[in-house]
Amino acid sequence: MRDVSARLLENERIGPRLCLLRLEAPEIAARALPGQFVAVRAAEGFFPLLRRPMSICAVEDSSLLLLVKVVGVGTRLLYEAEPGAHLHLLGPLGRPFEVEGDFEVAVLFGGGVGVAPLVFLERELRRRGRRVCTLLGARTASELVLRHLEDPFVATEDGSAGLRGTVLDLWRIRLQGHIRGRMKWFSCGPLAMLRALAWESQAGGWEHEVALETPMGCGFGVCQGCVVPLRGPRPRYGLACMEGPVFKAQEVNWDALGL
Amino acid sequence: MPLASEAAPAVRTEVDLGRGLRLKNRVLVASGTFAYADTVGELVDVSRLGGVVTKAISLEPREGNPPPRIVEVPGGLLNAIGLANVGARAFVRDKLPRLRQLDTAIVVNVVGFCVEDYVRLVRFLDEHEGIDAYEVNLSCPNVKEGGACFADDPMMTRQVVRALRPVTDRHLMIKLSPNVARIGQIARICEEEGADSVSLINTLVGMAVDVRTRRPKLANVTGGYSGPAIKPVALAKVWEAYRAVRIPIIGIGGIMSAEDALEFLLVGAQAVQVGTGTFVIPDLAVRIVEGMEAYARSEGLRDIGELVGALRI
Ligand SMILES: Cc1cc2nc3c(=O)[nH]c(=O)nc-3n(C[C@H](O)[C@H](O)[C@H](O)COP(=O)(O)OP(=O)(O)OC[C@H]3O[C@@H](n4cnc5c(N)ncnc54)[C@H](O)[C@@H]3O)c2cc1C
Ligand SMILES: Cc1cc2nc3c(=O)[nH]c(=O)nc-3n(C[C@H](O)[C@H](O)[C@H](O)COP(=O)(O)O)c2cc1C
Ligand code: FES
Repeated sequence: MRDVSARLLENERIGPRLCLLRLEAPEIAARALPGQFVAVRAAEGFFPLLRRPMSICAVEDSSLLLLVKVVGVGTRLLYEAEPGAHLHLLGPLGRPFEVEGDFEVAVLFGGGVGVAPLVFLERELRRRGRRVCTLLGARTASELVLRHLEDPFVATEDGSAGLRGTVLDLWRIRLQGHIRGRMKWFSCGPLAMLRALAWESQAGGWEHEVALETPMGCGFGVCQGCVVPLRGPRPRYGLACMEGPVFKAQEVNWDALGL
Repeated sequence: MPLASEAAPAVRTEVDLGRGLRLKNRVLVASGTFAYADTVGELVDVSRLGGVVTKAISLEPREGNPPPRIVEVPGGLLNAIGLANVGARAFVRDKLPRLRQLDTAIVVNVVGFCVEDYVRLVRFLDEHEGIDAYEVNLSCPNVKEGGACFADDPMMTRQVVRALRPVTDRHLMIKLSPNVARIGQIARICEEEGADSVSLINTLVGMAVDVRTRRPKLANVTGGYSGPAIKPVALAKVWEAYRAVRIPIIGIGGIMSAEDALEFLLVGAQAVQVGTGTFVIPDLAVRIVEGMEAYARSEGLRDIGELVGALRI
């Protein structure tokens, strides 16, 4: 975990509300694992105040890629940042996806900007010689980020690309029954999607890890602000920035998450 | 030894706040913003701090409030953590052994839900080595008195301090809430009952609403406001308390720079605590230590303490 000032090498504006930042951050790049995130200061000074958590979308040599969707003031500033600017990054933070283990096919589900950590994950799995199958969903074609993934299956809610429907529809209609070998699921995206996938994987008995987003005060375990309700013999809260953001899907108390 | 330090005589940074609480410098990290100093890793050289105030400890472990617990608002944030903590037994077993190894003062923030809770908790902690002071957090409901907040009520504040003073020989720092009409009066009550210092301010009660869903942005509905926006309030409260009592005051609220910390000294604080600022810049408190020393050197001071209460009006 380091707090570094990273130079913005490139800001590729993919659409009106989506951009891909490339930042020179060798100390973080050398340690980062898929599923981990960085906490970014969107501006010098204290407005906005808190750092914004962003998944590490990929590591290329000594640089990090971050895929940013504009939702408010902080992400707007990141979208507008120009190459040459310096951004403060704290990371790598959080618990990564578990890529070891007893499975033959990794099935990756990404919804919207939730595709970000899956790019890094897919590359790492392939590097290790794993079979990977990636399913992507978005509201509409222009919100799909495909370029950094290898041949993903695609669904859009408005049918403007791929199947009309959700990633879960895509799974059921196109893939279920066609995958041979022991599966492990990995997913990241909107809460409703993750919850639906968690039920599906539980019914199917597949191992499944989810990357969750919660508001964060610090990103490094000092504020207790980022809790996720967990099941178990003793229900408890886990810190998304330390125990997560990657959790076992069966461990999360989905009913208590997000009203 | 670098030449520069031979030329300029070293500035005295230490301060003795009484009853065993000696700080190597006047900057601590605030309760609830540094956990138990166990997650900052290599980000902060804790030995450079005047002290660490732990997350609030209660007799029993607490899971805390449901999420969302944090929301950013202009100039700061609202938090409703709900005093989540590991509880006194796990604290002394799992956290204290590491804390006492640190080369800095350890202040344990204690919280209770009736007067007896505070007494039992401090008695229990007093049996364990490695604690330099207690910071008594009164910003919680007194369940035996209809849930009113201890800190908001002069009589209940008096009861807690009066009950605690005979229980411990350690330094008792009473943490005051800004959500009161006259903080000077409450500080005086603490002094009368034998408190060794007062720290202020705790968070201001605040609220934020999502107009789209018409729901409060915090699951707890209200929360504590902290961050740069509260600094002017905190300064005024410290100034009020400074005119009311002779015991040391520890200033807290929206400190984001050495200059902010110096303002607190000038209005009467002997030391300061850095809270929310740590979330943004993990080693902010260390940078503030350095910035204060640089200021003192440039002003030709021999002791940073010369600034305490040195406001010109
Ligand atoms: C572990 C993790 C990884 C993330 N990865 C990405 C990513 O790769 N790409 C991406 O575009 N976004 C990602 N997000 C979401 C991103 O952090 C928020 O969209 C962003 O903080 C919004 O900031 P803002 O100032 O634009 O919005 P505002 O609405 O102005 O933000 C106000 C406050 O709410 C918080 N907040 C708002 N939305 C979210 C959210 N969905 N999750 C957490 N906090 C939120 C902000 O941090 C800020 O403190 C991730 C979140 C987490 C927790
Ligand atoms: C997330 C969070 C948790 C806190 N927890 C505690 C606590 O457990 N006990 C306490 O006395 N104060 C607690 N505080 C209050 C701070 O110690 C401090 O008094 C307040 O935040 C004002 O300082 P700041 O503006 O520098 O943050 C907490 C503050 C925050 C932001
Ligand atoms: S974000 Fe502060 S503890 Fe997780």
